[in-house]
Amino acid sequence: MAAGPTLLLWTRSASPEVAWINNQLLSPWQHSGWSWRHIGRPEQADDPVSVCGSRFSVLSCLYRVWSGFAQLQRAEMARDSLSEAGLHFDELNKLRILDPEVSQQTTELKEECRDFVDKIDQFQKIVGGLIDLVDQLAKETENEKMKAIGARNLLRSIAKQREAQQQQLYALIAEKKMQLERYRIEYDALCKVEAEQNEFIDKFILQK
Amino acid sequence: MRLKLSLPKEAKHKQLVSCVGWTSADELYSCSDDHQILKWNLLNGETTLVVKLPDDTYPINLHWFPKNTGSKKQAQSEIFVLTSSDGKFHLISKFGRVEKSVEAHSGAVITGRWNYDGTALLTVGEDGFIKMWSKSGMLRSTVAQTGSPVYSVAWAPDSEQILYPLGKQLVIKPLQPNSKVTQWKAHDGVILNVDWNSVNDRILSAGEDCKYKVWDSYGLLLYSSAPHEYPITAVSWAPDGELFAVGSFHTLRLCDKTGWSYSLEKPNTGSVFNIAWSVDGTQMAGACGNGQVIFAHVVEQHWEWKNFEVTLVKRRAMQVRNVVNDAVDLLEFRDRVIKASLNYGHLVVSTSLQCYIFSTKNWNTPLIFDLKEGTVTLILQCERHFLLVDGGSLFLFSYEGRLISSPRVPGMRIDNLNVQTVSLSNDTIAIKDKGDEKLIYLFDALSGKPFGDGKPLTHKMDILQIALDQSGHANGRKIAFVDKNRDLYISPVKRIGKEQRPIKIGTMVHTLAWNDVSNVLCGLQDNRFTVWYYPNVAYVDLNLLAKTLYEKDGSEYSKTPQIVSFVGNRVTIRRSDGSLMHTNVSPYPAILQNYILSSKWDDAVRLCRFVKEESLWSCLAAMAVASKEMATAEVAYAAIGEIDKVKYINSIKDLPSNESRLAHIQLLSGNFQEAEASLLQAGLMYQAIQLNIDSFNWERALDLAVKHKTHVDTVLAYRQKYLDNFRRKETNKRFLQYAEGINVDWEKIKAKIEMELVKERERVTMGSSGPSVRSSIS
Repeated sequence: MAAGPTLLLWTRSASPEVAWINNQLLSPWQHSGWSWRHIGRPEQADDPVSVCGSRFSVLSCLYRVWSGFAQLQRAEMARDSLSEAGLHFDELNKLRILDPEVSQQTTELKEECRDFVDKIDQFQKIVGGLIDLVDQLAKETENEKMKAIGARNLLRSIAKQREAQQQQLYALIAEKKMQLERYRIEYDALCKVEAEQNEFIDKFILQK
Repeated sequence: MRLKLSLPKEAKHKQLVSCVGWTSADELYSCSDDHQILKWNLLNGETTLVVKLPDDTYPINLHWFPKNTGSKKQAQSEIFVLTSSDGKFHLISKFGRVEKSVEAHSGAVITGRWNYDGTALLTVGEDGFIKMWSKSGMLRSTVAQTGSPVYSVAWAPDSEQILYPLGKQLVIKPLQPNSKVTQWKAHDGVILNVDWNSVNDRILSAGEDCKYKVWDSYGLLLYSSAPHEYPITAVSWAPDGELFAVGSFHTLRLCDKTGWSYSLEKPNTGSVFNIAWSVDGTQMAGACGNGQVIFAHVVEQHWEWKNFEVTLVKRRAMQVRNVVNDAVDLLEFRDRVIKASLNYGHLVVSTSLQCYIFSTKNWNTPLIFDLKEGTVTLILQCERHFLLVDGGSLFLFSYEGRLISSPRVPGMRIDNLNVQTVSLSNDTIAIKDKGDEKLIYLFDALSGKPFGDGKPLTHKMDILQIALDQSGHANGRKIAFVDKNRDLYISPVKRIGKEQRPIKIGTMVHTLAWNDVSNVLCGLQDNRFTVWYYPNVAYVDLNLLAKTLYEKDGSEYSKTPQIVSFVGNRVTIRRSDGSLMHTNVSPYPAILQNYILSSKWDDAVRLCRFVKEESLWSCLAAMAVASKEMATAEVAYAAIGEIDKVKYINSIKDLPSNESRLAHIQLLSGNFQEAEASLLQAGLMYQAIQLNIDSFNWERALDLAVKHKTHVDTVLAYRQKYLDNFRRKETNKRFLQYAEGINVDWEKIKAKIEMELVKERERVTMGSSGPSVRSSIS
């Protein structure tokens, strides 16, 4: 089998439109913003190509495409009149009250909203963490502050304590001094006694 | 001496402790603002809760009912009074049962105090009332009513007076109505605490002027401390009156009874609100403001004698140091040492159960015997034995541990005797009466019986201090005492006749001590240091007294010194600031006394010639006269230039008979009545009459002459001569009456006197030749 001409089918990426285009063949001029893509390449020109469930040869398929265009043009016209009445067709040609575009935007909005909510959630989580952190920090700071105050007070009281201790030591020193004075007096008295006794002994020896 | 403190790590009370009280030597009760009463057992270190008081009862003070000394059964007090801030006092048993609660004051009841015999209770309150209650808590009377709160109260030793502070003043109020109240300004701040010791009769006061002061019971200031940093919240006498404790913020001080401080401690206690001494006086407890109860016992007491130093190093151990060779001995005891005394070569130690006697020659083998009561309050030593005051009795032991006697003093509390009120010598015990302070009881040491008729020695004035001399014969035993006027008297212990009255030998004497081996007395007179080399001179020749003294300026001893000891020839004096001063006295009087005791008169004279001191010669003169050794007396009197005495002694030698000679020697000593009595006894009427004539004792001479119907004319003749000399006329009716019938003839009288003297001489020769005549006959 010789290789047939390559048939390129371009379709928009979203699936309902693709289905519709495959059924109705293509009407690329009708809508702007359509992208095309290659969907397959028949092996032979008369190889049946399965388009929307029907088997056609490529040529007949092309014919059908061209005839389909005309049909499409007609349908377009009918659709415009419907949309004026507030009725729309979607890409699957189902009847819709909401303009598919609006619907799509709504969906997008919805998506975006969800994104937004997610992000907000995330934000909240982050901010919560931050608050916790700051709280903890505050607590620690408070602790440190109290500690510092305590230390300062302690320092101040230590000064006082030292003063008291000093006073106590002074009192003890005074006491010891008094004791020393007593011993000094006793020592002096004993020295005097010794001198007297020596004198006495000297006198005694001299007299003998 | 210092305090060894023990402070538990954790406070047992949650709030401040307000008061403490001992039941025995090892058990303490403490009350606190946390409403708990805790019992502290010091033997096993346990603390148990006795009772928890109701939440509205804040205890302020407690005082145990005094235990009856003497009966062994009541070794512990059974009940105490607890005063509280709600105006009540509670009687609480030792098991914590509240026996009675009495609404006593409006406002807090600050202090409750039992008297010494437990018959009355005093309470003082914030409302300024002082009320007396019976033992069972019935109101007896309101003793005083003052306008301001009364913070403290104390009983006098005799329980007849009370002492309380009134603002800055101290008030002594006798309980008898209408008696004089003594009141004086004592402090510059409000007085917070007072105490009155029953043994030494001294008063302690402390106040917000941060000072403590010691007073005697007449309100005389004995000591005033330097101001402290904080108000003094507690003062308390040790039971034996030798020490007291002072409590203040973070401060505990141990002081001598004269006020100076032995040691200062700075424990972490807060304010010490209350101090209580244990019964045996070896330890004390303090109620602390921080919920602690601090315990302190007294260690490092010190005794010295000659070359030995004894120190109480621990509660149960003593260290003896011989200064001469630096040998150190450690004496260990089974129980706590309560009292000790080192003197006369022996160390006597009493513990709570036993008495140990060590000889300084041998520290290793003490003599040990068990004590009856185990509450020795005083040990007094003399050369041969020692006296123990144990519980309510006196015991005299020899150094071999043998009980010699146990003198009984009727109606007297023995447990508050101290060194000043009891004295001991080898043969005599003297005790000053506490009730009537004019009396001194004298006992024979060996038998424990009172001397003579058992009547105490009575003085006309209150006596402060007594002391017996230590050496010489029992018959010559003398007691020296100082009375309230600070006059020093000496009296023989065995009084014969009226002549032996107490004789004043010194004035303004603050303190005195006899020598330990000779009868030399030393004292501080006014501010002179005086030694009476031979106090007995007062009974021999009072005029010689001044010459037998040794005096020295005593200003270096400052105010109110105390003589601690007079051992050998060294006197130790404690100044009022606590320092010891030593001084030497001449060794010669003691040597002289020893010669005299062994009748070595020649040696005595030789000693005096060697020393060449008037005081020694005077002593010798007096001693010779006392021993009727006229030859020596003559030499001695000549040496001190008492010519009249020498002449008189010479004239005595010329007297015809031995009896009249003796009588004149008596006269030389100033014992006129004894001289006369001895003459009359010998039947020498003329000599007796002449004695009275010579001393211008006309009436007595006439009485004797008339009574014995002899020499009336002699008396009249001398009387006439005497009157003529003074150009006066006879006014005495009796002489006029007798003069009427009698003609005075000097010739006749002289002949008569001559005859008497011849007769007396003959009597002597007859007396001496009598036996020989008889022997020749046989």
